[in-house]
Amino acid sequence: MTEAEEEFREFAVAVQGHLRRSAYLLCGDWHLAEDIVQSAFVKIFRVWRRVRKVDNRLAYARQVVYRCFLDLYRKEKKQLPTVPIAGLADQVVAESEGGDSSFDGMVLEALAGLPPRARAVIVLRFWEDMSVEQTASVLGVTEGTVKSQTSRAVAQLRDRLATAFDEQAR
Amino acid sequence: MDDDDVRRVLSRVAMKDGTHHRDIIGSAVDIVLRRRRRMRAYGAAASGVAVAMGASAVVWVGGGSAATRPEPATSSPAVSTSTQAPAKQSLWDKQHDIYNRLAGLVNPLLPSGLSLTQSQSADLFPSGGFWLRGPSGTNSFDLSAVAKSNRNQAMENGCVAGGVCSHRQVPGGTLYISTKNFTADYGGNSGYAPGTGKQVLSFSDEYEFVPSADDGMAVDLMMSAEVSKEHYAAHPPSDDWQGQWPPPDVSTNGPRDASGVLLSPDDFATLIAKPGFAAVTTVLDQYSPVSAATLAQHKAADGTIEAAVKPVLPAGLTLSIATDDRLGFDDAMTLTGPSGANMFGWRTEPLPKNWRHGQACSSHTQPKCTWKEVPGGEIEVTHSWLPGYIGGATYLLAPGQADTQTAGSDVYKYLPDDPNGTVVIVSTGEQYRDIPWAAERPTTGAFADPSRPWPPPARSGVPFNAGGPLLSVDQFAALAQKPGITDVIQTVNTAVDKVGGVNVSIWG
Repeated sequence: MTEAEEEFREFAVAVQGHLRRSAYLLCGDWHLAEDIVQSAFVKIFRVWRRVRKVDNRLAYARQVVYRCFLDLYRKEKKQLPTVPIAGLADQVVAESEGGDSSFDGMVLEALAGLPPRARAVIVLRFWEDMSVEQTASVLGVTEGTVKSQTSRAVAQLRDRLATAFDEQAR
Repeated sequence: MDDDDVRRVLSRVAMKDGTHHRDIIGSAVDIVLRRRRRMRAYGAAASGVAVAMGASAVVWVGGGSAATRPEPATSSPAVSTSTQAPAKQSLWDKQHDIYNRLAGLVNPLLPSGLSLTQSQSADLFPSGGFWLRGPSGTNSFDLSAVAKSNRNQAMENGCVAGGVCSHRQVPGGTLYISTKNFTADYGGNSGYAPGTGKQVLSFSDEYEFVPSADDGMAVDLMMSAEVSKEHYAAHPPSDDWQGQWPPPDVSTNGPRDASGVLLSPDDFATLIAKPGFAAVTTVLDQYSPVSAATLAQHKAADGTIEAAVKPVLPAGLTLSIATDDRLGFDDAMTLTGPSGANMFGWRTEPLPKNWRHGQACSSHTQPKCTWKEVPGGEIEVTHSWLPGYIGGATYLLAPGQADTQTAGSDVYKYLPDDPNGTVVIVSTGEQYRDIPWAAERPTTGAFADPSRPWPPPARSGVPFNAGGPLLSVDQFAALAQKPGITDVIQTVNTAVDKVGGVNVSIWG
């Protein structure tokens, strides 16, 4: 194992948990999330000699993950779980002992109902806690696009989740 | 349901981790190592997520792209053998030596009408930093040679990522051939004009000669070029598309040849059979001595650096080109002081748009980020460290030492208040504690092999300083505000790598 490979592995071990969760929110499937993160790791390791000294490597890796997700959607949009996530919700409910996973499934289903880029905007803004400017930079779109998509997507999420959220809040 | 509610539900869903954890890191490493020698062409950079990794059928392809070129020679290939002991020279020396000498050695051996030139591309420096020029255009040209025992055998295992692969016997060994075209729809058929999805945009071909003799040198050549431009549809592929349509042309400065590859497999076989080719493999051999001219170039570069930094570095510190394998990184120098040494790199960049004083560390995810107010701006310092053994194999370490930190790196960033000011960034790193290897040889893993020495060296070979960074925050603050610091950094970085700077590119 070369020094560069060892360094990459150490970095990847440190960030993979966070990246997997981000990818899961984007696609709603743990297996697919791992595929996305693995693809991102392939891209990062290929240029590790240059990436290794980027002062915020997690941010760099995060950007690659989000773009991998959008790439995947563009290439295989018919296979992404936009519809199957409803099935995932059912599956989660079936596997659950209580009502919590049902709520999680509804959240995932609501996210899956958003267009991919809007989904990415929501996850970046509210899961990664990124600013509008940072989100625009990661996705390669204008700040105006981020603002408008955030507004529309939150409204859509609010509409879809209102009932579930109210029940959860009780 | 407000914004905080959205945050809360997302966190709750994401933190409920799935139960399936496969080794995605090991798989990613494996994929890259298998692809590395075969997929470096820019066409491969578009491979994305869905690259087919399965081996395709081995199909014989006869002949080459230039029927008028000479037939292969019948003599044995004139590749040298790697028999020389490692010389006392740095990787910087070897890589610059190749860059300086390769074209001069290869050009007299090429078929008529072809010539090799330095590409001036830092991204491919050094062995791939060449262009093959012909009557119809240019190909990238990445020639390497390693001892047969050190080859990676990627081509002998068939096509890693599609294309057409074949092999045949040539005098003295076996020639492996891989050709791969990248069509417009290779990365997904999205937004191209009707009927143009299968249009070939670029190619990446590779030839590798593997000698029969165990002490011979394996010679590998990769060539690639853009063949044609994309043709986009009149409208974006979906309403979700953001940005300019059609997308801007991003490959205007790369090698381009509408006719395809300039050197056929037969041409390659002829090339390596010429008597003069032995000198080529000797230069490419990482263990062969470099020329006196290259050593003088190194000395001159260090002299330039020494003179440039004298007015800005604190007394007692000196800067020079790294003599280990860090070439190409942005810390490609060594900072030396009375107590030890640090890896060192620096650069400048414009202040981020809309930057306001007080934002230092505000967007950082590094676990340790600190800042300090200084006249005219602020200093941000991020620190990261490595545990005892960075491969994660904690069983190799002494009991209780898994979390012992042995190496660290720091990034100092000067962020001026002046919106037109320049950000100065210094990155340093070093090993500061010996690796606490276990006393007993492990019973599993690679080190269980008794032929491998145990314990390994406690110091990895990178610069060591028990006190950590040699440059204090206050010293950095003074350095960053020295008049002319931008010019000093530019002078030094140019001296380190005459080809140019190092650019970080996500898509590689």
